[in-house]
Amino acid sequence: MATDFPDPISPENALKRRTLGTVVIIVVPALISALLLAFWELWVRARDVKEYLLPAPSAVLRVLADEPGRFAEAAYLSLQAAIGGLIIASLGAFILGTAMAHSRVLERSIYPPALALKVTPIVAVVPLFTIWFGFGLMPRVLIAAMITFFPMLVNTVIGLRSVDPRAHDFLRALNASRWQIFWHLRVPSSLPYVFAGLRISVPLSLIGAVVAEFLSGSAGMGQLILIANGDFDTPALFGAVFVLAGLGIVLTATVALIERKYLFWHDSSLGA
Amino acid sequence: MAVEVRGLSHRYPVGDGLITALEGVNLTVKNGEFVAVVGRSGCGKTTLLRTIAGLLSPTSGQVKVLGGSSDSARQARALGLVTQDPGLLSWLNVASNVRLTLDITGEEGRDERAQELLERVGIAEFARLVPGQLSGGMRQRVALARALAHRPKLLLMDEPFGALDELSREEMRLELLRVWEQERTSVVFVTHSIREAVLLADRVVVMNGQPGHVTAEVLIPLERPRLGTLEESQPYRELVARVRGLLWSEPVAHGD
Repeated sequence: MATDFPDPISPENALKRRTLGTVVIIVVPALISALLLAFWELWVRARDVKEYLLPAPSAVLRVLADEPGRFAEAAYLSLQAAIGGLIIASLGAFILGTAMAHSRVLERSIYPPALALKVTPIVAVVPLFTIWFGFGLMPRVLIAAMITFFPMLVNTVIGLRSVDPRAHDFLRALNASRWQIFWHLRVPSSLPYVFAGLRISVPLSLIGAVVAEFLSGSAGMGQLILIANGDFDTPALFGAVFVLAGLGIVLTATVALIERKYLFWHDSSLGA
Repeated sequence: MAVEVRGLSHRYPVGDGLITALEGVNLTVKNGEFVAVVGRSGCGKTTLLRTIAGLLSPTSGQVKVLGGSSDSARQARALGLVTQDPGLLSWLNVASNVRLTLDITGEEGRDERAQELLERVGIAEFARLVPGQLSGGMRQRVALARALAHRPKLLLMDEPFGALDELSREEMRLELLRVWEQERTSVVFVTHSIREAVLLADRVVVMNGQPGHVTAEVLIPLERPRLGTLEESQPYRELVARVRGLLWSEPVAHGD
């Protein structure tokens, strides 16, 4: 009896399949988003929904296309505050996290105020910061830093502590200095945790910036929303939502790309 | 003497009490000697090795390494360590893992020495791979190369092949013998494989009991260089049988 074995997959075919896989991974989600938007558009038109309640996607796009400068400038200012805050929070978390990872006393001393900072609603702090720092970039950056600091700190401390004890023993047997162990072992070991912190913090930083802008009415997407809200300009409000969602996706994707480049060695990347 | 351990005891706290891992251990390793320590799991072999490496402080007793304290041996960069899970740095490729040893000890001619070792343990062609892409046996080759990179006087090995499959173990034993013939450092090799101990060592130290102590020593006068075929020979089998007898003659419980 003749048994038919399936043909083995040639390297060229395997490559073709992989390329096809990449295309599918991009095309299918894009198609689903397009379908959702089309459904929304049709539903608004069929039911004749009032624009101040729910504008059709086409109306939102028209607002964005009519005043691209207004949205772009606001987006730029919000992005500036968000990224600035994220950088300050990450650096602060790295410095304090290093101290905390090396000393239990410091860990116990720094943790309560950091936690207090975390549980304080930023809404309660914005007016204070506005009084202290005015309407410039500073208070918005600080609010974004405040909201992202805690997740960065916790992840940095856990990361710096999560060293492989065998690798630690090996380096100690070589009489490696504390500094060498820190630089060659602790910092790289912390990166998967730091990136996990960044994935949480990136959207938070955007929220922090926009809330600060909204409450102080100073600049950026928050201010744009505040004004559009006053004008009952629902399409502009939706425009702001679209832009912020876009910023969030781009920032998250950027972090994911950097992560993929630098964490190629981690289990999550090797597919082990 | 490479290692002189006298009356070493080690206790560590567990819950409310103290557990005695080692009690009155004596051990000497001559310069250039390959000593294997065999014993059942939990007899304190690893504790003994970590104490020699200066990673643990003895509760009582004396540990001399290369004529001084284990700390001074560490400071002289005279120690190399290989463990069962080798703890390679997973973000560095094979070549960088070996080079790291030299970066830390600050040796001259690091690239040449790293390359030399990669070739010696037969992994030069995998130099650009990261540990996650290697098999267990390959990883232990990297671990061996980086532990020897700075030319240590004493190599400490803690069940280095314990996690490997049988074929890789056999291969790595012969590989270690081959490399050791060239480097001739003093070695303390902890294992729970009697056959491995007899194949590799000049002398086998048998540890027993809880708390662990040395119960016997067996000289292994087999000719070097030793090859895989040695395992078929009568003297080898007799020595294995002797060590096995010594290992099992002791009652498991000891002392109280």
